[in-house]
Amino acid sequence: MNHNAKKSEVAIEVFDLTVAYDIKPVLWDVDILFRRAKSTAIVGPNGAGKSTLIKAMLGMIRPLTGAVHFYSKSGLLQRNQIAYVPQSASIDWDFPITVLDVVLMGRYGHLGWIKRPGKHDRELATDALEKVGMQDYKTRQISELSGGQQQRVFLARAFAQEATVYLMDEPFKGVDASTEAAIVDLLKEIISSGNTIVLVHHDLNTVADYFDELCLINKRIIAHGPIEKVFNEENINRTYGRNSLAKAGLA
Amino acid sequence: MKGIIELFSDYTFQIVALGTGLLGVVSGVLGTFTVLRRQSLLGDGISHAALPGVVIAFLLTGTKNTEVLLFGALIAGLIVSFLITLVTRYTRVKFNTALAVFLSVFFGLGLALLSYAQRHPNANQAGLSRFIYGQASTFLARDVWIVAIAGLFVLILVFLFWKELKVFTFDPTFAQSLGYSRTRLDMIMNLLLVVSIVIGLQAVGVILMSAMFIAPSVAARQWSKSLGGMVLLSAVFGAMSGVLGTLVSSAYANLPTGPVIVVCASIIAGISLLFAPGRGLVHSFYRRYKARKEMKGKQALNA
Ligand SMILES: Nc1ncnc2c1ncn2[C@@H]1O[C@H](COP(=O)(O)OP(=O)(O)OP(=O)(O)O)[C@@H](O)[C@H]1O
Ligand SMILES: [Mg+2]
Repeated sequence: MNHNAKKSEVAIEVFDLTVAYDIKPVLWDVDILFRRAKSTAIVGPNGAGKSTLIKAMLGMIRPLTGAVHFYSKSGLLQRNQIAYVPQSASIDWDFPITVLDVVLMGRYGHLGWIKRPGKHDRELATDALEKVGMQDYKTRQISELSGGQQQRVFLARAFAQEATVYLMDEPFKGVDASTEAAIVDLLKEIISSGNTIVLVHHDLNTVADYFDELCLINKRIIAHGPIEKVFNEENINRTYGRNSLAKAGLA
Repeated sequence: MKGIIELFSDYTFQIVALGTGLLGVVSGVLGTFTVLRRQSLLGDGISHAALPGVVIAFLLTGTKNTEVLLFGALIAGLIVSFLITLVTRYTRVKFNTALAVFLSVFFGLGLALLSYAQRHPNANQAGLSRFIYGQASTFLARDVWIVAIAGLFVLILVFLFWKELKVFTFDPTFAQSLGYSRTRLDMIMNLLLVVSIVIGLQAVGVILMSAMFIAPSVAARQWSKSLGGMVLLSAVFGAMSGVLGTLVSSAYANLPTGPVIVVCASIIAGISLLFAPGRGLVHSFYRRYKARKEMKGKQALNA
């Protein structure tokens, strides 16, 4: 890991993070630094602690030890700067709400307490829906969407946030190939305007195409750095166990 | 018919109907949030827990003053809602279990205290037992003022925090990621719920109060496509149940108001579950019937 990066290049710094749900920690001693204007894939087997890392970074789980700094500041970032896409939305799909209304919630972080979303927010929400190809579903009830469409709505909500840091937990789950391609283009656009993306990903076939950096994790950080340095058979085996690459049909 | 018109121009009836109508509005609005959060039974726990609060307030002060008794209910309700939130947050005990335990413990305590308090010389006069089944006919103009002021307080807070309550009810995890404090929103929600339960106790009673939260919102869900629509409709259904219930129970003396109001609310819910377009049972049967007929028609053409 490179700790010599200039402060201005760093978006998120995680120090000495250990997280436990029960007694036994599920994440040990995580020290990691996410660079500004880069996209990082977090990759590891099921139960490796990927979602836990993201939730702990957001302050949703209190760690046993450690701290997270956004832009070199301790404590929580102004929250309108972080967009979070959870692995599985724990929502009631029968809630009486339209697609546009869900995406509008992405603007709430910019509004603070009491203020209501206005015309500008509506425009941004509509744009975000267009980006994920869901503009025709604006007035649909969310209960009337397919699984992949639901996921696209949640992505649109994240894009409507106009955040500077995007934490996305398996955002491509259930999304069809052409939508995935469109979203990857969008992610690259987000990066090129100086924002930062940390994304939990499972598909080793696309990691190298989609991301700048790779973080391999299995309860601890196994390796972290630019894709070309980190993405190799040895590291993958250390993350997933012996010969897993051969099993995945990639070797 | 003449009887009904006379009733409407009767001052006592007007007072009582105004009170029950208002509390129907408030519980309809709050009920929407609790039903959508799948916490409809929280209202049940809080209202049952209010009983010992009422009795203790009476034992301590010896007064039959409604404000004082309801203040006791408010404190007890806040304590129990706090305990339930605490236990579900910090232990592995499930929401339903915590609720059932607190409900029975507090209600049992309330009943025990009540039978003790009945020996008190003032007890009958204070009419403590009206809080069990509710007796709206005991409403005075002053009681309606209590309902109106407390209800207005609840409605104003709902209006101010509309956006927060909406995102918190829909997706609490996301609300948290936006930086809203979950504890703070839980507290606001619980406070609103407790206040709106307390103002209904005198008219509807602790046992049935939670139905005033559930039935109008379940009915409203059938007809609405947005949270705002559902809240408005639920308020209308709540008010209708309050006024209708009062009407019926005034027309037939001796019928306790609470149960009659709840029956009215349940009838509205039943009709909505059956006949609402789109979600109603009848409509979905009809759709299946049509779809099947169309399919058969196509098959016949192809054959
Ligand atoms: N709420 C919880 N309570 C207790 N243990 C949990 C909880 N959430 C996760 N765990 C445990 O923590 C470990 C890490 O879980 P986490 O969800 O972070 O894995 P993950 O890397 O995201 O896996 P996946 O690829 O399946 O999403 C797992 O062993 C899991 O069993
Ligand atoms: Mg996960």
